[in-house]
Amino acid sequence: MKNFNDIVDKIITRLGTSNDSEICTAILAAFKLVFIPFATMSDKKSTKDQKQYALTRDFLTEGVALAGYIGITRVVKNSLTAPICAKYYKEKAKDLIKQNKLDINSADYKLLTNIDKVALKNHAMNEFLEESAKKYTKNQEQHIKALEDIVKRFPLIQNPKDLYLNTKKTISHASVCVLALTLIPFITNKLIYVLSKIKSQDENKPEIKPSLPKQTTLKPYSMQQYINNIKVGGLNVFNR
Amino acid sequence: MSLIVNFLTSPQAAEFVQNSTCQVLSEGCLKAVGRPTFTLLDKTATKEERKYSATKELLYQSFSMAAFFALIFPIKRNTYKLLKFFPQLKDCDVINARTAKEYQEKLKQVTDKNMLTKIKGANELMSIIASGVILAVITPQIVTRLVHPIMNKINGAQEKNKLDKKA
Repeated sequence: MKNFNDIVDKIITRLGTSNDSEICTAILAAFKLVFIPFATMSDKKSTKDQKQYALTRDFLTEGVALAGYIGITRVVKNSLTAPICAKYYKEKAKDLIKQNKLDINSADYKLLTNIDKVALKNHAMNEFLEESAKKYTKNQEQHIKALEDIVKRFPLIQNPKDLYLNTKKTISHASVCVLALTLIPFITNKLIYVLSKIKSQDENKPEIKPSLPKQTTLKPYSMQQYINNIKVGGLNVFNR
Repeated sequence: MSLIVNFLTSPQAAEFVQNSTCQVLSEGCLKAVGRPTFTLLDKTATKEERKYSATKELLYQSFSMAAFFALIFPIKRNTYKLLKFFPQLKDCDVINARTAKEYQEKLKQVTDKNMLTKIKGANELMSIIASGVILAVITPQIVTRLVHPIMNKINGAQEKNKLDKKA
């Protein structure tokens, strides 16, 4: 019971801190993986072929969705968030130059256009890690402090931590949407194609019949040969 | 490019996608378009099989979104009544709220950030479970009963059109 409470505690803390889209959609996909094929099976009016196809499709779609929401979304958000944040700072630096608030040769401009992506990620994610798992080098810390100083002077620019976390949430949802609209049904179609190929190969395989002993064709036997082969007491009597 | 970056980094967009109701609704609407389209494009199945599966998908997605939209908001308004079942929140006065108004007032008085996070998380968890029940348990059973009468009507209308054209 204590373990169960700990799990619930972890889940509600996670959902309260950062309710990323993939968590909700993956839980729903898991629900659907069980219940939708069950509902399809209970349909008594559809033909066997219709039911079989719909069942395969339901099961594959939700299975691919579950794997995609957990796997692909995680990869996408981990690899895209920091580069997009860096791009944001670069564009903000260009805007500040256009507004004559920043000099192109200044250290601020150089820092805004050359963001250390790893430092940005570590800075934002350290909050969720235990003390031993935190990654932050001295250089990275200085880099982020300098960035925070710039952000304080220009309040329209978001601070690094908020920017990273906000972008992560939005990318997660964008990834879920792309997966739902195109990638999941596309992968399902491909899987169904592969399955149908395997099925048709099995159906077209020729049946292996048990091999019968070869029939020997009898040669015409002449009277002379017959007489020559007559044996009496194991001895050829006529063929001497 | 700038527009995409602005959207992805926007705090308003992040706030919007944090809500599980918005997540389910936007994902469901996209699925209602994508899944039946790809089912109809699948050339491995016969026309009848594709038609049945695509009609079922389209019906399911549109019906589930309507049911979700109708049911989730009343459910969400009342999830505070179930907060007392979370032992993590037993020290919080919010669980004693009897009305939605009282709950909102008590919620404002909570100063502990950690407790606020847990209350928000508990509400989201109940919302996800309710979504699961609506989308995966109730709706497929209803759609399974609806799919054949609707398919018959579509087929009947198509045949009538063909006969009219021939005449």
